[in-house]
Amino acid sequence: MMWRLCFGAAALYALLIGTAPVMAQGTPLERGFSASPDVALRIYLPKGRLRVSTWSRDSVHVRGTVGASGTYFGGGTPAHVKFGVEPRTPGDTRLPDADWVVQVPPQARLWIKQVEGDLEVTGLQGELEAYTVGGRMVVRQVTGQTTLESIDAPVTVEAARGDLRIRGSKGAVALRDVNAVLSVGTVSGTVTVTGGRPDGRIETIGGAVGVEGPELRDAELEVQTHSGTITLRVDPRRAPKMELSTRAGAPTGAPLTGQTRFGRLVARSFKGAILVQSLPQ
Amino acid sequence: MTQHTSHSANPRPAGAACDVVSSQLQAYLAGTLSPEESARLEWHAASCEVCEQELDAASTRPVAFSPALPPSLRGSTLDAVQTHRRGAAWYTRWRTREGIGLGLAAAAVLVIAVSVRDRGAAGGDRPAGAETTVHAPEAGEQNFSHEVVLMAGAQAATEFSALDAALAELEVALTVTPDDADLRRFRSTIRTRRDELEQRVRNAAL
Repeated sequence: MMWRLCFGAAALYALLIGTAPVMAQGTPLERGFSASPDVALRIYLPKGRLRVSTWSRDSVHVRGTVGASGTYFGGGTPAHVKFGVEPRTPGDTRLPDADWVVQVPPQARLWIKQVEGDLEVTGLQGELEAYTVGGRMVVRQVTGQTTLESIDAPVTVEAARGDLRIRGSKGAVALRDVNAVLSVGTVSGTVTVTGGRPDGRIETIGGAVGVEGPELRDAELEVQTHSGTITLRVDPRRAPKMELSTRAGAPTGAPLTGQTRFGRLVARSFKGAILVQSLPQ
Repeated sequence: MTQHTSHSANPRPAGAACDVVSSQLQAYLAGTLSPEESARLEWHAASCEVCEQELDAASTRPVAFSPALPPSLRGSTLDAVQTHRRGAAWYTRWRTREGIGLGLAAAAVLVIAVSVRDRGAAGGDRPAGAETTVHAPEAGEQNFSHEVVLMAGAQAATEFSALDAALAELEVALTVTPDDADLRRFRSTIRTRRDELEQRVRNAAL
């Protein structure tokens, strides 16, 4: 009798161990929607990973897994598609999660809502609006109107064109090779701009701002902080005209004033330091 | 074209007149007008009190049934119905015991096939064709909404403190130099950031 119990327990244990990875990976999902070239997409993925890329087809494709506490919903018309995950059980306060790869037409208009999401969007030429509380946002090679809002999530934008609006709070914002009309605002999150041709405005309260090697010909970049340090690293041969002011004292570092033909760089802080550095030749 | 006398002074797009509204009203309610025609009609109704009332009244009326078919169309329609009935005669033949048995077997195979497909592709808890049904998690519908807003508020608490501290500093500075344009600009920026953050916290779960 005893050996039967032991055998049964061992078999049950083996079964649980064997199926655990499958359960952890979630339930597989694959869906397709016919879509117009500029389809409006709304994606709700409160928790988990969402990778969006473009393809030259008249459809939207979703592939990945849905977590144990969530269930898939979706539908729409070729012009409007909405899908996402919602709690499997009414009253469940856990965030439903999923791990999806989504392919959309290049001109699609995306609206993405997350709470604790890991978002990556690549190659979109249409509009992008993405909202999250925490997690991470990475956007690459977008060329349309892009709006990214978070509270705690770091935001990285690479090789973007068009219009770019970012609102963060604690999360750091990193912009690399961004050639866009820019509006960036954070509270304590740092903002770093590397290369590109950013034309617009960056504002933080306590967050430090670093601008390195921007090409501002025919552009104007305005940086404003309350107490955050502003560090400007420019090529002395192509330094934009700089207007710097802070009530913390005179700007320090390399005595560069720049030329208007290379654009304008305005840095203003209430009590943060302003530091100007020359990039190595 | 007739024009009601109670038109407002708003300019009107070409072709938008009261008789046009009357003639297109049923098509508008049926949703068969083009977007441009619909927009023109709505625009006119918005600027014409009489047409607006007519539109409101028509919107609340039950949709009228189609008038009787003309004789020529009626004949061809009845022919089509007869053809459809002849095509459906196989169903009558299958209403035998063998037919019912085979039909049930086919239905069982279909149900199993659909079930296997759904389990493999979508978690197995949704019927086939679930894409057509959208469970939209609109505002307040999701069960975790309250928790999300609390979480967002907690994440943003230090940020609100930083914003308030910065605002207090500027208020003090402005008492000394109330006409300082730079200080006012700094304060305006902080107020904007604070409003935006409040909005983001409120909308975190929407």
